[in-house]
Amino acid sequence: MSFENQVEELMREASLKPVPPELSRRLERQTETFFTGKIVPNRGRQWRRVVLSLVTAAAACVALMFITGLGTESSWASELQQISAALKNRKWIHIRSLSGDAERFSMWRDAMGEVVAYSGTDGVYFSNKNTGRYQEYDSVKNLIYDKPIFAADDTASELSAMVGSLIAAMADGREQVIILNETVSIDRRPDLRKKAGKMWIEAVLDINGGQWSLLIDPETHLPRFWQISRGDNSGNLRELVFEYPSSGPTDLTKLPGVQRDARVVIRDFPKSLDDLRNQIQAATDSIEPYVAVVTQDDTASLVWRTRTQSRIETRRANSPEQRLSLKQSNKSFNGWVASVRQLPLTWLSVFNEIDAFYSKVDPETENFVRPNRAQSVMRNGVLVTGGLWHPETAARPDLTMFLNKRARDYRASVQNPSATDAPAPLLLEFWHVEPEKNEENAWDFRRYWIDPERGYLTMRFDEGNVHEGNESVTRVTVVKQVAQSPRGHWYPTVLQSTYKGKTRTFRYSLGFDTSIDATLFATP
Amino acid sequence: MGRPEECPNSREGDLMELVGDNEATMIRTIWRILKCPEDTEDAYQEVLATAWKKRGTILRHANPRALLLRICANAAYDSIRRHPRSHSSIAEIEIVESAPRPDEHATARELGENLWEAVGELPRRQAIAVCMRILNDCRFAEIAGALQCAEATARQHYFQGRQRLGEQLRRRCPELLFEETEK
Repeated sequence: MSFENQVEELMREASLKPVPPELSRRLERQTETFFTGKIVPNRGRQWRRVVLSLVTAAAACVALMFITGLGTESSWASELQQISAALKNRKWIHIRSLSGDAERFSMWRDAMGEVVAYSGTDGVYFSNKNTGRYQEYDSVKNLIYDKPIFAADDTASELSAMVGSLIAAMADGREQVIILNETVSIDRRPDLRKKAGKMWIEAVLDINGGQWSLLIDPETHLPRFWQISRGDNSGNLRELVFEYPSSGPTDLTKLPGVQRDARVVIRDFPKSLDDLRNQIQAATDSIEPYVAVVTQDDTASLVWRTRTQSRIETRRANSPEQRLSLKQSNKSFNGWVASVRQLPLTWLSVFNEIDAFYSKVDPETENFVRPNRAQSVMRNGVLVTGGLWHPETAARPDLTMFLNKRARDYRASVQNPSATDAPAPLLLEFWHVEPEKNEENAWDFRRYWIDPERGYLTMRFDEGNVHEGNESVTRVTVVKQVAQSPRGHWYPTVLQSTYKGKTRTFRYSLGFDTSIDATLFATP
Repeated sequence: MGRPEECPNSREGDLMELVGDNEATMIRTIWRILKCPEDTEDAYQEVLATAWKKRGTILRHANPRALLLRICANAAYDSIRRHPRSHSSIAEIEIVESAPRPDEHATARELGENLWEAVGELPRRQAIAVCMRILNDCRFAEIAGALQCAEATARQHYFQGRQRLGEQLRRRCPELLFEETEK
């Protein structure tokens, strides 16, 4: 299950709390009061508005219905070829909304579609495939983010994606265009259309009942207007104008809406991170069966681990409390299903090594382990990664979040520490771009010292904040000792984690030659 | 949105009946987003006022219920943006009921706060699509009707909104991904 699906599930579960009865009663009274005349709306210039709206609607209808002429499939195919040729002869295409449009925008696109610039109410960006860079403007922070271009970047705006798809299809002479993930045919059903005293060739795209009408100049074979009507018969109509300038914007700072003093923030992610992540993942995947004793202060755990199942029994000294965790790999849940028994409560969880959801067990949800029932027991909960109780994940933090190409607020660097006493030869740093502006409790930097010679174990992990230029480390996790499995996999045997002044020491003792009885994994 | 819209054929009683039929759902929608009695009351008052102003559009609309729910989501969205930190979270409440350890409580509370704040930072149409879909189980056709856009556009708003929510949470709560202990 993707992170987004889990977010959705979290929202659903978080919304189950009923409205407090007292509040509900108050609001119902509010409804009653509102409609019993205590608030009298101003009826004002009601009739004038009605007449005006009727006239406007009628005018729109007349304009839409003024259609003449007939067309054939073959002549349309021929026309499309001419449109394609005409578009390719133009250096730039400029598409803009009319001045009264509430969602105003301007978009430039060069003939080859290599350079796309967009400025609208929903954002400003500049994408240049020739240089491989993508710039996006943050109007709140007055920052320009400059980063390598990714496949989805020139579709950052829904409208620009639609226009871009249409132009590209016409430039290629294709009759089908993919708009909003739907394949739509460009259909020249009504043949000619009159607008502004001139006859135009009209091509129509039917999308979910809405008619998108493209008007093409029969002399130049260039599209000039695009009328988009809503699919709800509301009569709402948007009109876009096509222009063909000889030059276009050269970078984002030339676009409307961008302040001249905007600061540029470069975002480059080292390519080596991908390799690194793959190697870490591969190491995590290659689990060897083991039996382990893991201790931390007064708590001890027995761990049985196969490639597909694990059992952890946890006991605290001088306490009758025992926790039993059974986990089973289950592809139908795209992760693991676990039963965590913490007497007298039992928790159920579904997780995929990165994210987890917990739920208190009740009789209705006890049967959650049936396939495809996982979602039914998902409740709000906490997100975890691996956990320090698992030696195979304890020193391998999940780095995938830093590889998210859309992440905007941090930068990364990889370097080989020069200090001879560095915890490991490879240092990864992740920094928030603007640490001082971070929200309270957010981390500003993370540093991972990784040892390629030891299976890319993270030998030390620091997390901290910056205040007025001064760094303070809030969490330190250090691997003190390591060992190797018979097949050569590295794992920590002693690990220390210090957070908010409290240090916890985990000690791992693993045995690889003990057979593991399958009955250990049976649900109690 | 701001200008009152008049419709001579729409009767006050029609709107009252419509609101009455959907009152519970409307209240629930706002409550689910805001989780604060005072804010919910304020937002509901705004909803009633907006519904009155827009009664012509609502009563003519193919799916007036969807439009009402949009107005509710819209008002709640505005409230979140005005008071981003004032909302207690249901995540917190439910975790408390489940008697977690103190560190679990803090984590869940943080996640809950960030979740609804993140909704407030979405573009308006995305936020409304997400709220209508997730909180009201609205079909995309209904959302499209309420947002006055194509169904595919509504779908796009929803998926983009959900994706942004995920990104926001990753950014706001990266430490949640690094929770250390086995639960």
